[in-house]
Amino acid sequence: MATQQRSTPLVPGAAAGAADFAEGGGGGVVARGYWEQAWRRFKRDRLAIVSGVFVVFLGLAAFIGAPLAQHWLGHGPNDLIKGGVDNFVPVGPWSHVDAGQGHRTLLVLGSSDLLGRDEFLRLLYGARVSLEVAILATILGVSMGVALGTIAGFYGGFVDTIVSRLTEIVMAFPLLLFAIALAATVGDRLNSYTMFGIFQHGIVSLTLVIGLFSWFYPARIVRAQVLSLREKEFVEAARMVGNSNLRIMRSHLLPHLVGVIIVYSTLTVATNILFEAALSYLGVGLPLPDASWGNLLSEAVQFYTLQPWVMLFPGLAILFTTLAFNLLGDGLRDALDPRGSL
Amino acid sequence: MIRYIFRRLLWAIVLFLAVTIVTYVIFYLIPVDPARLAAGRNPTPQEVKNVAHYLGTDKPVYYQYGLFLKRLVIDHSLGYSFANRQSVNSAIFAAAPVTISLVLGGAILWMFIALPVGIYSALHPRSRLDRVAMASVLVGISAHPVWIGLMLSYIFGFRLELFPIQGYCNLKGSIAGQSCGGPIDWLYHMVLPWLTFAVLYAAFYVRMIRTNVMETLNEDYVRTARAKGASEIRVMVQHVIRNAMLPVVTMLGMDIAIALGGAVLTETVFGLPGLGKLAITGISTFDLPIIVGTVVFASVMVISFNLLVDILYAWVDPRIRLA
Repeated sequence: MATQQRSTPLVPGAAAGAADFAEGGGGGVVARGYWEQAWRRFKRDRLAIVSGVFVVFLGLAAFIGAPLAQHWLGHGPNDLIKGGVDNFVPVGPWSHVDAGQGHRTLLVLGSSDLLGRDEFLRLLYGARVSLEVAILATILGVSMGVALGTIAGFYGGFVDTIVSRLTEIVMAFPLLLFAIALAATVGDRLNSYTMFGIFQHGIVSLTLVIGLFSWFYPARIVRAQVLSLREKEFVEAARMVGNSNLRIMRSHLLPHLVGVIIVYSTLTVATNILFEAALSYLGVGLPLPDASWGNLLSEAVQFYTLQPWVMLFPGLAILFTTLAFNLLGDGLRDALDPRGSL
Repeated sequence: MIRYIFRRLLWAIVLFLAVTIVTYVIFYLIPVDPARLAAGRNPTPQEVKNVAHYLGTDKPVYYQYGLFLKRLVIDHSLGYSFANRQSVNSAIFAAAPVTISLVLGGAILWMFIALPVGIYSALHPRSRLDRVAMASVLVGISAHPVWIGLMLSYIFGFRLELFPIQGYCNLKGSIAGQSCGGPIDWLYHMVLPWLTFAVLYAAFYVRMIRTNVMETLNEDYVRTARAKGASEIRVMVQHVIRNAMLPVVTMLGMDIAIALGGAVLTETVFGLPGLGKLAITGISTFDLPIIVGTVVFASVMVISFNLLVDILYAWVDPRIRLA
């Protein structure tokens, strides 16, 4: 097994194929591909599998479960529920309360604020916001980073100097302050832009702001990888048969970076979930009345001493989701890069 | 060496100019007119114009930026707030001690946690304590800082009534408008913010120290030292920890510098009137001089800590300055 784990991505199946052959597997030798090997390693990592299942489940709950739950409970996430507030304190979990006009309704996790909104539904809809923003911003940031990093590492010289200096300048900024300032000003104007109604208010602007601040780490990592890859023989061979620079980058360098990019993106989603929650907590993220985990936390600040549930639920939602993405990322790292070069 | 320092210094100045120019340009592009905000309720167009002239916002952006540089270099002044004409220097000097005590105290606390745990974990990988440490690290980096703060203040502040959950007390005796002051009140009020701040960073540092020490343990010079008969303590202290700490110290410098620019989340949770709070207030009122002031302070911190680390490194390692 040791040789199999050590095999390089260049000829990933060779060692495994040799092992099969030695066991006298009969018939033809089928070499295991890079992805097959990675999947075999990933399967053994129970924590990573559980995290992956959790992420899929959360996605289903947020995009399919939320409207269903709204239908069954009979009220929406932004509806004001009269009975949701008891003596100026939001009610606790599992309360049957008066919904006005003689109806009674169930607040599964209690209400989230002094307007008596349903905490459970707001958490589900908040999951949607978190996932959409974090994943889209990661795609945006990582693609920018990969493009810049590849170009810088491949061409070197003047281009590399420009990109590296640019990263250095960006990293000298007080980034959180800048993100807040951007979200409060430019983001505020973009809030009503929904991309022809696909997204709810504020998603596009949050994605842009967060994406703008998540490109430099991937850029640095990819640049370092490309710097060593471009000296390899296969690049020389590709150039010799007459490939253009663009084709070398796209077809010969990028496939080697897929592992790094997947691992890094997963971990970036985790940071971006925290980032989104921080911006919404500070009131420059998702505009009210729509729910986001950050909004819920900032509302909880007012009365968490009287009703600790309102603080506990959004915090745990954030914790479990980021934890799942972090564990998934670690598992993917072990699976895709067993030699530990990341 | 002098040449190297000179080059780094020049680059630091370029960085500073780049950061401030970008700040100015971004806030110039904002469609909000600060003069209108500062002119009071229902101003006539003439009043807005007068206010704009008074604040200097009727001039083109490069003129405003030039004026900012001139004031900074010649008068060492960051200008006056648009909102209340308070001097930005005094606003920053009032807020800086709060942030500095939060960040430095937090940094000391997190290093006190991270150093022993990280080194122990590296020396005993897969031991019970290592597993517990690694699990808490994952929780520490996955939990939201705001939530950590709220949980700590609920449990230790509200339930156990051990520490206050809000406010700041001046270290050097009470100042006007404050009921508390002096070192004991200061310490008492800072415990929970420090803890919040430390939980997050301790997680990162435990992980980093563990990886570094484990990597250094595999180095050839560690084996050589052992082969030469050095005692285990000497090998650890002189060879392993010394080398493993180099990158940690770099990160520490960077993290402290960045946090000094505004530990926004911790400051808002505990109601500390620090730089982060100042910046947030500035942003919500489009108070350009306050925003630029905090950005300048924060980036000067980052740039000078960077410069310091670079120079220290070049001094330790000649390969860097000759490259």
